Amino acid sequence: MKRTEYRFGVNDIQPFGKTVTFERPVLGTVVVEDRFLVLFDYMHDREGRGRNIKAYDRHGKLLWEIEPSGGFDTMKNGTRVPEPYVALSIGGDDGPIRAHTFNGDVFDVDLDTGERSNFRWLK
Amino acid sequence: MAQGGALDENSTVDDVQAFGELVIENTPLVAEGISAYEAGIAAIAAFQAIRDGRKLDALLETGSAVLSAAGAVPIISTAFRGGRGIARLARSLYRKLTRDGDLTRGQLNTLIELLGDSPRNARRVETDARLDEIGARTRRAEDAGPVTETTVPGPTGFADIVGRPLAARRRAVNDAEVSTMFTASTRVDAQTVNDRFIEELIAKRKVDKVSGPPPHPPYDVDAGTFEAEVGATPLQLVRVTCPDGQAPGKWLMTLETFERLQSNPAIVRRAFALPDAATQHTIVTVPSGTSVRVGIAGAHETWGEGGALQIELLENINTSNFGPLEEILP
Repeated sequence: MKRTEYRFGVNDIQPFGKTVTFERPVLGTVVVEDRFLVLFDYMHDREGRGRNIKAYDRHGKLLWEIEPSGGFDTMKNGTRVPEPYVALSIGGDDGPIRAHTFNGDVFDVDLDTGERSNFRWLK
Repeated sequence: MAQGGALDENSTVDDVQAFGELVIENTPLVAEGISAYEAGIAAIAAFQAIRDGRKLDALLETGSAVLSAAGAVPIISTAFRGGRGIARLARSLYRKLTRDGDLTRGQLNTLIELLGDSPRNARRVETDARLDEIGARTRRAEDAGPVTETTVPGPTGFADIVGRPLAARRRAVNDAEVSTMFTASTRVDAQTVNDRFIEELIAKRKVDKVSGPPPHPPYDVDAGTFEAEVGATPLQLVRVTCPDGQAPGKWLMTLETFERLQSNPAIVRRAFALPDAATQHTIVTVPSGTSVRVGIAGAHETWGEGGALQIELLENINTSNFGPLEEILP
């Protein structure tokens, strides 16, 4: 199953040759066969839900969004919000898709459901 | 004892004791932690090798311990340039190690050459001026507060004389030192920080539906932990990662610490208690006003002893602040 990783920083991406525009900047995307995963810029997580990785089909229809990591960021005013993800990576050739947090946590992500597994803290 | 503080073939046990005390009492980087830390680790490994009958390993580890101690004491280090000091000490140790006649003089000379000409040794000589500078600053920081102590199990012999006390004197951080890097410094309770961290890690681990062993607390609770802010000027720090890690992350170290550690990814791992050897690093530009936590890395049963100064970002910063990951070359 071919996995291709791209890195951006803009709102427009072209995962299948067709432009898809999002409201938030995209930090990276991974294209796997008929779908693509998008990592939205964690600095623009206006919803503060910590679910800034989403999967879409080739037509741009939302398939799933990732669950929050389980960790929290504390804002300067003292409020705590779910920590977002900061990177998407591919674990080698044909390897798992991985979601990373600012804390150094890594999860494998199921392509079909977005469920996470194989948690590790790399620091 | 020979001129310059090194040992020679005529050194007595008292000389070795005096040398050890000299190293311990005049090691400015005990507070910086790294060189003395390396010395302690190597010296303990040397003892273990002696105890296990691995005498070649013992000699190599002892050489590493002395190299580290020499790096920690710039005045003494001049006596070790070109491996001369190592050679003297190795000969002294050789007498102790070869009472049973297990080592030949040819083997010893080969080891001495390897140690004396090693790139690590050359790098230490090159960085003597840098060590002087760090040492002077660290001495000032030490004057402002005590160095904490922990117990290291240990043995006897040279490792006990030099390595054990060095390893036992763990790095601490105080308000004066934090204030040289950051503003608005406030002491915090490291135990509370550790407890919250572990609570979150346990929650994250639930995705695998296993409990597993307790995760390691990130801070040494006895060594001082502070929260502060980056001052008016953005601060350049370093992030190191294991092979599967990514550049964005909140666990950082100073450039000085990184320079002191970069010759050995395994030492980086142990000093920061990482789950794997640190194979990559990147420069991080931390913006003015960013909140940080500063403390000493806690120990982990299998990852490492910790003991190095670590800086944790308490708020997210843009990915553009993280440079590209580069390989750490041993």
